[in-house]
This record gives sequence, C-alpha cells and structure tokens, in this order.
Amino acid sequence: MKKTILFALAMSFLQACKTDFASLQYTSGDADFTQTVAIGGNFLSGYQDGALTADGQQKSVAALLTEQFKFSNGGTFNQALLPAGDGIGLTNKAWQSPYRQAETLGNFTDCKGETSLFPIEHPMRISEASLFLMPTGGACSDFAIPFARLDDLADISFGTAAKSPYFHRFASAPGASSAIDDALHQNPSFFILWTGMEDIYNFALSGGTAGAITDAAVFSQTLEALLQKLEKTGAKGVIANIPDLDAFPYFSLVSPRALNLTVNQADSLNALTGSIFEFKEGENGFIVKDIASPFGYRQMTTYDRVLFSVPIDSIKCHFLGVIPADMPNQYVLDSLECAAVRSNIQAYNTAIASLASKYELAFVDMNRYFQDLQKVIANDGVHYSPEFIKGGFFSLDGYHPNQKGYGLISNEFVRSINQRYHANVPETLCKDCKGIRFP
Amino acid sequence: MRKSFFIFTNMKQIVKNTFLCLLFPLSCAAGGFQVNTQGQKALGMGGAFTGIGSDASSVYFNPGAIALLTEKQHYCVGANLIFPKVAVRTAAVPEEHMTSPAGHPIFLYYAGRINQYLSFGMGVNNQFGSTSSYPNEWQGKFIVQKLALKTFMYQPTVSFNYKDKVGVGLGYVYSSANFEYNKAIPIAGATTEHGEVSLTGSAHTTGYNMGVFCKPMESVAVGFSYRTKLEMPLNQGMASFSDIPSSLTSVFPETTRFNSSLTLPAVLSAGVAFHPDSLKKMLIAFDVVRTYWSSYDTLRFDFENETTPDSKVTKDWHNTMTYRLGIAYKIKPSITLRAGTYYDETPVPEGRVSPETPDNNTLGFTMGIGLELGKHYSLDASWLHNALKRTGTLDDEGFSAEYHRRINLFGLSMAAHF
Repeated sequence: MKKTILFALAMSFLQACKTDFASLQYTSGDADFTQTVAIGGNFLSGYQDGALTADGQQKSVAALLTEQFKFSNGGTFNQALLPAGDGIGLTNKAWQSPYRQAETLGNFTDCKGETSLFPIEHPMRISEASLFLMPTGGACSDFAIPFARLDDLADISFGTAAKSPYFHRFASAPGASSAIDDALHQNPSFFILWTGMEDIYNFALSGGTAGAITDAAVFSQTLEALLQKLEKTGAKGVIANIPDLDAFPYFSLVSPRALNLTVNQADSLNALTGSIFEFKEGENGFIVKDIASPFGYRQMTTYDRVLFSVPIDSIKCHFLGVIPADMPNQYVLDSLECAAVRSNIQAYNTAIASLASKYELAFVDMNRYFQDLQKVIANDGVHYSPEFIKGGFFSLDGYHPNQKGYGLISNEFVRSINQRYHANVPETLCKDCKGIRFP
Repeated sequence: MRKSFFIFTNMKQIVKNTFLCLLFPLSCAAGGFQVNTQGQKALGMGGAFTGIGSDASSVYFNPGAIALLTEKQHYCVGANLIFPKVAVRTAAVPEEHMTSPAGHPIFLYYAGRINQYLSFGMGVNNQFGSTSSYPNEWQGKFIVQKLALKTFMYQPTVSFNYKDKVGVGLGYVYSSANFEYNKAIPIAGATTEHGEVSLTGSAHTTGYNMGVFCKPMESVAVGFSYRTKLEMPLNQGMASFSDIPSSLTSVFPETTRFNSSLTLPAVLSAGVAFHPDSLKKMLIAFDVVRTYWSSYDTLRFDFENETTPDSKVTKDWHNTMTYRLGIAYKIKPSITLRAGTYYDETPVPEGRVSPETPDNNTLGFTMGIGLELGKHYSLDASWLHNALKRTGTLDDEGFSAEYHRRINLFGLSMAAHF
C-alpha cells in the first residue's frame, strides 16, 4: 500500500515536471520550396537607406523568406551579393553623382547652425562605384532588382549597364536575357512576386520626372503573361500588392505649406509679386509652376506633396520654392500627379487581387498592412509606426523600410503562404535585422 | 498576557532575521500572482480552511477562528518550495522556457488566549508575489525579461470568543513590497542591438483582515473572512537605463526616479467544514473565494525625467471565483492524511495574456500528511500540483503564444500547542 502510494507520488511528480511541447514538424504543405525564385523590385531586394548593400540583400524580404523556407524543405537561395560595405544606390541628383552609399543617422548641423539627428548622405564617386558594379556570374535565384518595373523585368535590354547597373551584374547574358527569362530558366518550384510598385513609384519618387506610370491595363496583361509562364513550370507562388502613397514618410515629411514667413517677409514678397499670391504671416504654400494658372505659377496646397528628396537647407535659408526659384518639379508631386498615382494603385491592386485568385496564389495585402502601420503595429513588444526615425519601420530614405520593417513584411508573407498552401513555415525573429542606429 | 508579549518580542527578532536571510523570490501558486501557501493543513486540503479553525494559521485564513482554538498557545512555522515550469511556443520559436527560480514563501503564526473572551494572534507571510524571468535575448525581451514582486504581510490580530460558538477577529495588516522589472528597449546604437531598463522600487501600506467563525453544531463550522485590498504607492522607484546611444541619453538617462503604484486585491472567503462521522475521523471542508482582481487594471510608470516617455500597461484583470474542496482522514490517532482539489478562475482576460503571467482557469490537486509528535508538536507536509495550457495574445504588445505551465509545490510546517 505504502509503496503504491509512493510510486504514484513519484510518477505524478515526474509527469508534473514536464511542460515540453510535442515536437514540431515544419512543412511546406501543398507548396514546394526546393527551388524558389524572387521576382520584383526595391521592396523584395532589400533596398534601404537610399542604397542596396550586401547586408540589406541578406536581410531582404526574399532572403528572409527563403531562410525560413529552409525549415520546411526549402532549397538554397542564390543571390548576386554586392561586395560587403556601404553598398550602392541611385540618386536623382545628377549634378552630384548618379551613385551614393547608404545613408547613416548622424548629427546634422543645418544652415541656421541648429544641430539635430538627421540622415547623412554619402555621395559616391563613379570610380568608387565600379567595384560594386562588377558582373558576378553564376546561377541566381534572386530577381528582385531595384527600380525594375514589370516591363523592365521582361525586357532583354534591361541587363545593359545603362539601363540597370544592378541587373547588369548578374544577368545570364547582359543585354540579351531578361530577368524573367533567367528566372524561368531556374525551373522554379515556388516564386515570390512583388512587382508593380516601381511602375508607379519610380514616377512618384521622382516627382513625375522619371518616365510615365505604366498603363494599368498594360500592367495587368504583362502580369498575366508572366503568371501564365510561371504556371507552365508548375511553380506555385505568393504575390503582394501595392501600398498607397500616404503610407510613406517620403511624401509627407515636408509639408507643402512649410514656407514660414514673418510679417515683414510676407509684405515684401507681396510687394515683389504684385500680391498675386497673398503671402501671409506664418505658413504659406510653396510656389510651383502651373501652366493652368493665369500667372503660370500657383501656391501649393495640402493636396500637393513636397518630396523628402528636397534640399532642406535650401528651404530653410535660401527661399527655395519662392525666390529666386519656384519649387523644382523633381521635388513636387502635385495634386494631379497624386491623383494619377492613387487611381493607378487602385487599378493595379484590383488586377493583382483578381490574378492572385485566378492563378490560386497566396496573396499578401501589403496595402492593408501599410494602412495598419498608420495606426501603429505592435510586434513582440515593439511599437512600429510610419513616423520618420522614431517609428522604427522605415529606413532613412523615408520610402524603403529598414531591415526590421522588412522582417515584419516577410512574416506577413509567411502567414499568407501558410494559410494558402496549408504549410507550416516558422516566422522569422529577424534577430540580426538592423533598425535605425542612433549615434 | 506577559507570555504573549514575550513571544511577540521574540517574533520581532524572527521577523528581522527572516527579512535579512530570506529576501527571496516567490512564485505564484494560484490565479494571478496570489500565493496560496499559507498553511500546510490548508494546502493539503485544496486550500479550504476558512471553516476550519484547528491551528494558528487561522490568523491568516480566518481571524475569527483563533478565539475558538482549543489550546492556550499555538505556534506554527512553515516554508514551501514552489517549482514553476513554463514553456512558450510562438509562430517563430518552437519552444522557449521561463527561467524563473523556485519560490520559497514562508509563514509564521502565533495564536494565544489572553482570557476566555479575548485571544491574540500574530502572522507573517507572503501573500502575493511572483518572479517571472526569461532568457535575456528571448523573443519577448521588449515585453519582459524579468518581473519580480515580493511581499511581506505582518498581521497582529485580536479575536473575540462569544460563548465558544462564535469567534470574531480583526487583524491589522502591515505590508511591504519589493518590485523589480527588467526589459529591453528597442533602441540600437552603433555597437548595441538594444538598450535595457531596470525598474526597482519598494512600497508599504496597511490593510485589514477580518473574519467570523461560527460553530452552530459540534460537527459543523462555518467561516467568513475578508482581507482588504492593499494599495501600494511605489514612490521614488529607481529606473536605470543602460546600453543607450549617446544621442539619446537625455531621453533615457543612466538613472531617473519614477512613480508607480500597485494594488493587491481584496479577498472574500466563505467556508464550511464538517465531520460526517461521529468519531470525527473525517473532516470535509469547502471554500468559496472571491478575489477582486479588477483593482489590477493598469500598471503605469511616470518618470521624473520629463523627456522619458511614461509607460502604461493595461491589465484589465477580472474578479475571480475559486472553489476549494478538501478532505482529511485520521488513519491513526497520530496520522492524518489529506487530499484536496480546487478550481481557480483566471483573472487574465483574452487579449491580455502576458508572458509573465500565462494564467488560465486551473484545476489543482493537493495532498498532505500530518503527524502528531507527542502531545504538543505536529509536523505537516503537503504537495500541490496544477497544470494549465493557454493560447493567447497580448494585443497591446503584439505577442501571441501558446503556454504550458505546471506548478509543483512542496511544503513543510511545524506546529506546537500548549
């Protein structure tokens, strides 16, 4: 009797000490990740802080995803990694250099002598850039190419150095093979597709100076043609849509009415311009060219956007946007351009959603996710918001997420892949992912 | 009378020593962070003791009962070892384990009759507390790395006897608390991945413990007790920030004071105990307990340094019911076996399941043994076990996980009566 009781006690104690979970089998479900390719633009490539770096490539959405796929029988993901270092980015400030390295956060003293934390730019000499533009050769599965529009991805001339210094590095036959051809040549079993953003945002980021937005009907046809090709290889995949303009600090950091005037300044400007703009003390809209206006110029309103690429010092100290120069077009997305961007995003997203369901793909509603970000996204005790620097999500260029942001995005991909394909791919903690680094 | 006071001075010494030697962490053995380890007889019987008045632990369980104790002087001292085990599974990490140390709450009780109407009692115990810790670099490090609460309650008590049938007791509770909360801060520097903050503070407050104990028949006893809530102002706590990039040291200075407060909930208990057999070999007890956890609605930290962002954690806990059932059986005049079970509702609502308190409704089991060592002494031992699972989210922090928790508790106490 005693022994039995003692035995029961001992057993229940041993049992009681166990809290372990049943062992977990990560699976790929109906999908097959053995040969995964990524096709897309900036947000899949890991571009951030105004540049693409080797570190950014290794923590890109595509790289983070395929790293997680490895838990679920995923294969290796070959990337044409840049040489280690501060990477290479493209600028639209041709008078400086077409290239720059990743921005860093530093103490910036402005023209008025005030010091604050601000992104520090690092222009790059063309001679320095050549190291980063050397062709790599070898098989590649990462066709996320910065600034590549969907039609660029299908274009065989996109591999020329003039058109894309990035794709030029690893095109199988630069100038003779398209990114899509090269991707299909990998015989993919799974694809990560996030395209269409560059078709719209190359335009928007440049204030409408870098080419037109691809017509939505053309985009839809090109996308369907690509999906048909991918379907023929038997590959399954995931596709993401396009976040709205309002998601990005790049388009909201500088107010279009940030022209701050004293009474005297307003009076003298009115005298100088014959009072056609009615400058007042306090906030005034910047002056932009407008052929529809009777004067050929008008004041910006809250329906216009000043882009974060604008030289802040020129606004603060040199009356950029008033005298001697109106706000240059490359720093302005005016209300008509904004409307065009918005309506195209809607049309693209309608096409992406309907093709995703037609081709039975996993679908990631990135537009929705970036909307949620506006209300703050809490993740593992960190509160991410679109707020510049403080918000922790966007990189220093105000448009691309940082590695933490890309980590969150890749988990959104994981969730929709798991759901669509009944897979069990673990989410990433993205422990090595870098957010904003304070000096 | 004189003797009581002598005991009391001795008691003070014991308390002092206890404080010096045993500034120990505790771990929850009940819903929320309440520690229900206040007597081994009670523990063996599922914690149902409000309607039992058989030893000095009634100072805690029901101050009304000490006036009806059979002997003149009752002493009781005990300690417990609590082994919590918590495993966490998230969508990213298949298994993580809490690193919380074993808790060891103690109790010391004295109850003595002053005259036929009046009795005096004194109790020292740890009624609330928990230590929850995780590996420093774990997934939830920005929510909690360590949260430790230690409380001591000191309770001088008087109890009145009415015709050996009814006892009414009132205890004055002086309570002290120590608090420590460590977590990571999501700010990276050139060489650091994140910062750290450690919040420490202490507080004290007073409250009451009152009880009514009633023996309408020889074989039946009924009891009620109410312990008031303890509102602890945590003034002048110390916050230390470390690994902060130099550009942000004005926001997160090396140290700054903070104010906070913590409310330990009121507890209302009703219990009944009876001997079903005429020989009084068997004792059955049943308790119903209401814990007013809704007083734990927010945990806020207001920093003295103006630029440091104040923090507010919404807890929004619910009041809970606990049902306790226990049975004791004297297999020999000197040996009593005990067994019990309890069902404890969780105060933690959906959407607020935090890794430091992965709580759920719990069914617990207890066993105990009591040995009479001669006429005056007795030794009691008990074992408690509960296990729970919970899948839940902490919405405010964006953390969802599946938790497995098991708690084993071993307790030992020595009692004397003269």
